[in-house]
Amino acid sequence: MRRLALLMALGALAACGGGDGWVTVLDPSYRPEILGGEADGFAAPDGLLWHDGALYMADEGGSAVRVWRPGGPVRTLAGADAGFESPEDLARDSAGNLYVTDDDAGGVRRIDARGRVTLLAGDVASTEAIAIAPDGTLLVGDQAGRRILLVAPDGRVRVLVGAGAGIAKPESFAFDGRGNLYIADNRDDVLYLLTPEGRLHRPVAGRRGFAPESIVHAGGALFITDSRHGALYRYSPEDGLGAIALFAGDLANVQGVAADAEGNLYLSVQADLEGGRGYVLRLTRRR
Amino acid sequence: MSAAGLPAGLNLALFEALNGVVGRSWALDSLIALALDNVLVKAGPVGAAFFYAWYARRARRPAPARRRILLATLLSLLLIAPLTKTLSQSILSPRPFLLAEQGYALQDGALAEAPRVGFHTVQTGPMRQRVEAMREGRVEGNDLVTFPSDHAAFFVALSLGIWLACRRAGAIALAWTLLVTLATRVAAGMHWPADIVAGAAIGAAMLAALQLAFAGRRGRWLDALVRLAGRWPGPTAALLFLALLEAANVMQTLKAGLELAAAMAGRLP
Repeated sequence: MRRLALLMALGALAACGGGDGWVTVLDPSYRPEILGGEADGFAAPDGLLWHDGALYMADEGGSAVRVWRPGGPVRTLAGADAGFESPEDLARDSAGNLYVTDDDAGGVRRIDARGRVTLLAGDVASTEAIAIAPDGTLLVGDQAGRRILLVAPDGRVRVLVGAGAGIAKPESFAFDGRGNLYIADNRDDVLYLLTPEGRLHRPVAGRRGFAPESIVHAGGALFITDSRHGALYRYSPEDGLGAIALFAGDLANVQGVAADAEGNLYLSVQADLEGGRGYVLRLTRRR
Repeated sequence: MSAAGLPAGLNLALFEALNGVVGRSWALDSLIALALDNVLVKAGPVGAAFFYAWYARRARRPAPARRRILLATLLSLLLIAPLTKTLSQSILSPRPFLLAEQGYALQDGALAEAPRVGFHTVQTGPMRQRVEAMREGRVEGNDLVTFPSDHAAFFVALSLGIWLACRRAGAIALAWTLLVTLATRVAAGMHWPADIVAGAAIGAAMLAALQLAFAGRRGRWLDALVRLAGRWPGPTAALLFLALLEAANVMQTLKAGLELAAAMAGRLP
């Protein structure tokens, strides 16, 4: 019976070609499932943020910011009419404002609790990573300038880390519980660590087959997507880097990552960015 | 049916039979590892057969006709690389060693748990390191997909080209290609038999297309190249050596060079 199932799986895989995907789970404590695709309104998302039972998405392919609550439909918070072209990543402050970067339109767009959109730092041409520091400061990755910027609530910009530090593309940020900032650089394929004292370290660098895309810190570990190699990693200073899952075919281009309070992980996949086609996956933590 | 037209049952049975010899003997696994990764063992006899076909004094075909066939064969290899790469990116077929882990297939918008493939790992060599690296999540960009086999396409095209030029050398090249270069790739879990069959079909088709395209008067420039090669035997031998070495590495140096150029272009202001 097992052999028959294997034959059917192999036959289906071989016969389908192009449109399908594959997930290999190397950490058996996770089980993957598809939450939805473009037909469910997920389009081709990039950055993800889980907050208070809702998944916020920077829908790069659909030029919009969307939110989804389990059991409900996907809702659009703001779209192209608010100036979004290629929303990349998002962060949320304690007042309920959502901040979104955009690597084509540039700047940072703030969506307040009533849905009003305000442009901050509009002279920054291409923005990527974004995070709110423990003290409430907004940090933004400036792709063209290869810098990390501090953006004040009134939109004034100050440089935190300049181009001389060597970060080629600040793609994603995540704070750990000690105030350290992790930085994913997916041009030089380096994971940086900026300490509260301002020292910049390279915990993972020059590792063949590793190109960090998006990062999130949860449960004492950093979770890292790698869109170039179709992989999801876990990193901690104690245990180093280990793979959780590998992705192939339609699911290979894993982009954003978020974690909920139960330790479940959410991943965005861009199957066809131009065509606005993608998926959102959940890797449920087995108890 | 599999993507190559090989029935899934036959594909699996052939894989299990070849992979079944792995993991039993350290000596045999070492030989398989050599055939997989040592360029001299993997491709040396095929390259030697090529040179034999090029320089042999006594053969059924005259030397200029043989050399014309062999040059067209080398040209076909240049076209095979992008074709197999494009196909492997558009047809999903995970490598056998990948299917030995817990996998989920995307079907009709949902992930279905797939049964695992029984798989023996070679006890030594880079292939073992590759499997261990995969389990740690260190994978190359194109390491997950396998259809069609670029090695099969390259080596079958090369060996068949040698066979067209010189039967005796071609028979040795074909036998080595099938029994050593390709069979070990299935045995070690790098490829399914269907990948090999598809790759071989692509290689043979591309070779036939190039030989037909440059037949008769359309291949006059090849005759000119052959005459030039006859006048400059030393540089010709050196260039052929380099071309065959690159072919043995399935154009990896060329690919790396293109990637480097693209990366440098991407860094230009």
